[in-house]
Amino acid sequence: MSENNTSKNKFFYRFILVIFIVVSSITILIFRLWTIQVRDAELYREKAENNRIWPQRIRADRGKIITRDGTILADNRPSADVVFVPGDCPSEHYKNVAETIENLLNIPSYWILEQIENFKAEPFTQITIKKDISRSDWIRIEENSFQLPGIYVTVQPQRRYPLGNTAGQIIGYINETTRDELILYEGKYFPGDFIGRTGIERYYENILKGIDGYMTVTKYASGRPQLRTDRYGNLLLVRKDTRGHLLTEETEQRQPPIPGKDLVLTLDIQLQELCENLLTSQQGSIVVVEADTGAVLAMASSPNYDPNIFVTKGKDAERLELLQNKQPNRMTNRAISEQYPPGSIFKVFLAATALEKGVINSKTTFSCPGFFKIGGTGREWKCWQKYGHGSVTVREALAYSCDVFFYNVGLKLGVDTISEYCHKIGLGEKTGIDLPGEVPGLIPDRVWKAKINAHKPVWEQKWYPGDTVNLSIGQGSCATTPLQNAILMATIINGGHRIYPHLNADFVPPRPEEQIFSKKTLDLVMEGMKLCVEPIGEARAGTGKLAKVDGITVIGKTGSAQIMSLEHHKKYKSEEEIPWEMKDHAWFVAGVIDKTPKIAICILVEHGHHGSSAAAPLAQKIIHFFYNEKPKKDVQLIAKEPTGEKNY
Amino acid sequence: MSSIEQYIHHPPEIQFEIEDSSIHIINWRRLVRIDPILFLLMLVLIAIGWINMYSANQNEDYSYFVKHVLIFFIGLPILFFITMIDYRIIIASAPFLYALSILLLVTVLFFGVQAKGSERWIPLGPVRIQPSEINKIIIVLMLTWYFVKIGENIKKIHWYILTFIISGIPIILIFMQPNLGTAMSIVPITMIMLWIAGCRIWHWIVTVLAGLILMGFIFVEVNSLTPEKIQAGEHPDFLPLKPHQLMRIYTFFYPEADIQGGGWQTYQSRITIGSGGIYGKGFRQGTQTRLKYLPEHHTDFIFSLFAEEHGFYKSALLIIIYGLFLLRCLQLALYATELQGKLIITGITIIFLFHIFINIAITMGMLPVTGLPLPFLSYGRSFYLTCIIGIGLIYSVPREKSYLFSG
Repeated sequence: MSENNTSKNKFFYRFILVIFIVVSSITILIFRLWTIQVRDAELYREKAENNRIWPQRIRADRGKIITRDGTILADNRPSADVVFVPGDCPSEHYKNVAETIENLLNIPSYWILEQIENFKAEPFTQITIKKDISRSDWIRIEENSFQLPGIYVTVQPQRRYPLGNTAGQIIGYINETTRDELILYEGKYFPGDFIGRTGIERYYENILKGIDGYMTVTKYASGRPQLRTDRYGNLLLVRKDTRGHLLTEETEQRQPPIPGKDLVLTLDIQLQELCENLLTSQQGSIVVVEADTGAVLAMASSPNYDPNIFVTKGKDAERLELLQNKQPNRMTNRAISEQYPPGSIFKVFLAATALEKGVINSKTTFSCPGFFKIGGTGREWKCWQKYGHGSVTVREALAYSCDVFFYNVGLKLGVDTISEYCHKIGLGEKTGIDLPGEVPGLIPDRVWKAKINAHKPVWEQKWYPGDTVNLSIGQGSCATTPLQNAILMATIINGGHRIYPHLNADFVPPRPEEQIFSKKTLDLVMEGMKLCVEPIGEARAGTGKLAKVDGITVIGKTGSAQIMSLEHHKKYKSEEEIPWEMKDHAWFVAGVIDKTPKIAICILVEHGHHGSSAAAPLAQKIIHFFYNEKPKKDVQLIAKEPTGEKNY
Repeated sequence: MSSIEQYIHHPPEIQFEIEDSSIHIINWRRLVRIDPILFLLMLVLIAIGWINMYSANQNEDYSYFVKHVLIFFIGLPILFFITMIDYRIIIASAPFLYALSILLLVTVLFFGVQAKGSERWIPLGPVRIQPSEINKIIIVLMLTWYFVKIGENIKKIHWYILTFIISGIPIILIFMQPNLGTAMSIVPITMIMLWIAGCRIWHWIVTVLAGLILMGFIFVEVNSLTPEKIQAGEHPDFLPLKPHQLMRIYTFFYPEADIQGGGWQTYQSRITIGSGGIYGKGFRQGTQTRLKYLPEHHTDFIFSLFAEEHGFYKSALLIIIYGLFLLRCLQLALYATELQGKLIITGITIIFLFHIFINIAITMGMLPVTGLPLPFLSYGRSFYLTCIIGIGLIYSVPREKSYLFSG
């Protein structure tokens, strides 16, 4: 027995190593288990949740754009896509389904069968058969649904601009986000999202877009969850993912989307249509502003385009043509994105400023011999009336658009006062209208000239009286947009208050800070502008007589912005021979002071040559329509209740 | 001298166990050797295995669970049968079994069906045999036979080295399948059995050090590789591994290199275990498994499934049960009456230990993925039977009756 014990002891020592190995292995495993399951449990739990949870965005519907009277400018229509899920269809029916679809939708059946073959590994993938099917196709598919197992119709909202060209440049359009934008707005926009590109769609993107919702789905390691919609466009989770795993939505975690707000515009759509019609076959712009509030009633720009081109499928050629930036650019909103020398329209501003500053008064006269010289220089500035206007007061100078009178006034005022008042009214700077792509225009001053000629000799940087003379009649480097001129006009007729033009009807204009021009000043200016349109007493009507509307007091001012020097024009024998692109731009600003609402109009016809003949008649039509015809039409409209098709 | 006289002058030694005096090769009375504690631990593990396999089966498909349960009831009679056999007969037949297993390994190399790129099967009608699994037991028997045969000669260097040739042949053959994990499992079996057999300590230590140096060398070599080079078929000259195996070793050192392949498996397995937390997600509530993020969740990564659903306490308890199981085996080895019994039990214990440790370590991202099953929990019928046969062999060894909780 003792021998046996010693041998046992001998083995016991050897066994100690093996026991040690076993115990240490178990200890190592438990320690490692502890680090993973207890110490780092939170980390791994988070990772497991990230694996599992598939947050699916529910895209918010984009808000509509409507006018104050309820006309829809932009809304969403249901666009139906046909999808096929091979897994939901017994394989022996594939051929039948493909052939039925071929008959209904004119899609080759072999193509469908090819697609089914491609998605063999993931039989529950939704294969898009056709996008944006017509309503009749949709109905036919629903009718035949009993012999189309696995065929579904899903519905997405599709942007639509019912009025087409009308106000196209104001509304703008939407487009799919680019890769750069996806990086820029990471977390806000996702592939396939639409983003406003121009106009209201872009400016009010944040309001129109709405806030996306989320649904939470537990996802398998393989296979992608998919979404479909019912026929009303409500998003549904497809019960099986692409590999056929059954899925359920965690409904309590669902975050419904908040649809984008509808945007109401101040536009008067009838007036807008009229303005656009008036400009047909011409290049130019018409802006109609409510003088007291700054609400933009019409903003036409010609030529224009139909934003539907950008949201409808199969219009690639037209889209390309638009984006090629051909002249004239149809996408440019000429009311805010183009700048023109204001020409004689600037005289309205100059007269008001000079009267306000006391440089001249109602009785101040300047003699107009048809030309103007500054003492000591040889240069001669001409008046458009070759033989002069004789001795004129400010009233006549405005009515007949005497250049020499304003050369004198401009010199007396000096460039500094001119630029100070320009700033007060908002000429030569952005008006802040709620549209993208506005240009500031330019009112030259000393600082600007020094800066622009910084690389030139000192004498070129200096501001000369001659520059002031040029500026006095809105020529030289001076440039304004039609909208700015409309604002100038509105300031004259609304009692001298700065206005802030806007398209959003909810916009509350800031309180008028100060009266830029006193009533006395404005009465004088308005009298001159009234004389421009209609005769007062003995005095004959001025350059804008074609704008006269019976029964309404219209004040106005014509303008012809030279783009070539007068010498250039002299090469041609008569006006008709001057090539179109060399003709002056025709301006007309008009205002109505004895009706409510007071409106200020600015009309620009590019290369219209004479404001009096090309632009003033348009003002007449607009005013006549707005105060005489439209109220009648409105009565008719109210009688005819609009059909209440429920918008998508 | 008459036989009676002889009996009087030389009385027979007192047998510890009466059964041993029996000349029957198969005797049902040897069933009393079944150790109740080891049997209970085994039943606990098997029950955990069933519960876990039930959880691993999803979508109303319980075929794996049914097969897993059935193999136990097939295995149980085999266990009893092996217990009844005189273990000296088994040891005596070890050279034949060894030769047969070599033959099978060669056969499987040429006619085997490859599954998942590493394991090889011999299809025999409806049954598929994986010879490399049962080979582990045969190696234990063969080494036992060899050590008993040479006795004290083990202390001589050339007999010592011959051991490595005996275990080296199957290692190389399994390695060529290629089944890295199973091939490596023979190495610790050999080393521990040499140790128990009573080799010289310095021989043993030198061998272990040489092995560690070799492993370090492999690490340096693998370190110089990149995933692109491995995919292109490049490998160290002394390490003729398939790209996917080399990739597994590589991703062990650099898990981020192959997040979709082996790295993906360990990564997801770690997430699975870790997300279980202290209390677990509940029976059949493991999201990682249910949503199929955990690969091989019913075979190699079954521990992750258990850990996810049952949490830290129960997982640690499972590991401790495995530990108690191994320690009980060693206790039985210690009290075995003969050297050959000690050797058999120790060898089989090391098979268990190797599989338990490597498998759980892999699921926790401590070792590269090699594809070793977890005893009694993993689905895999060849290995399950191997485990049951191993336990049968442990029971068939005669023991002294003077140990703790002896039945």
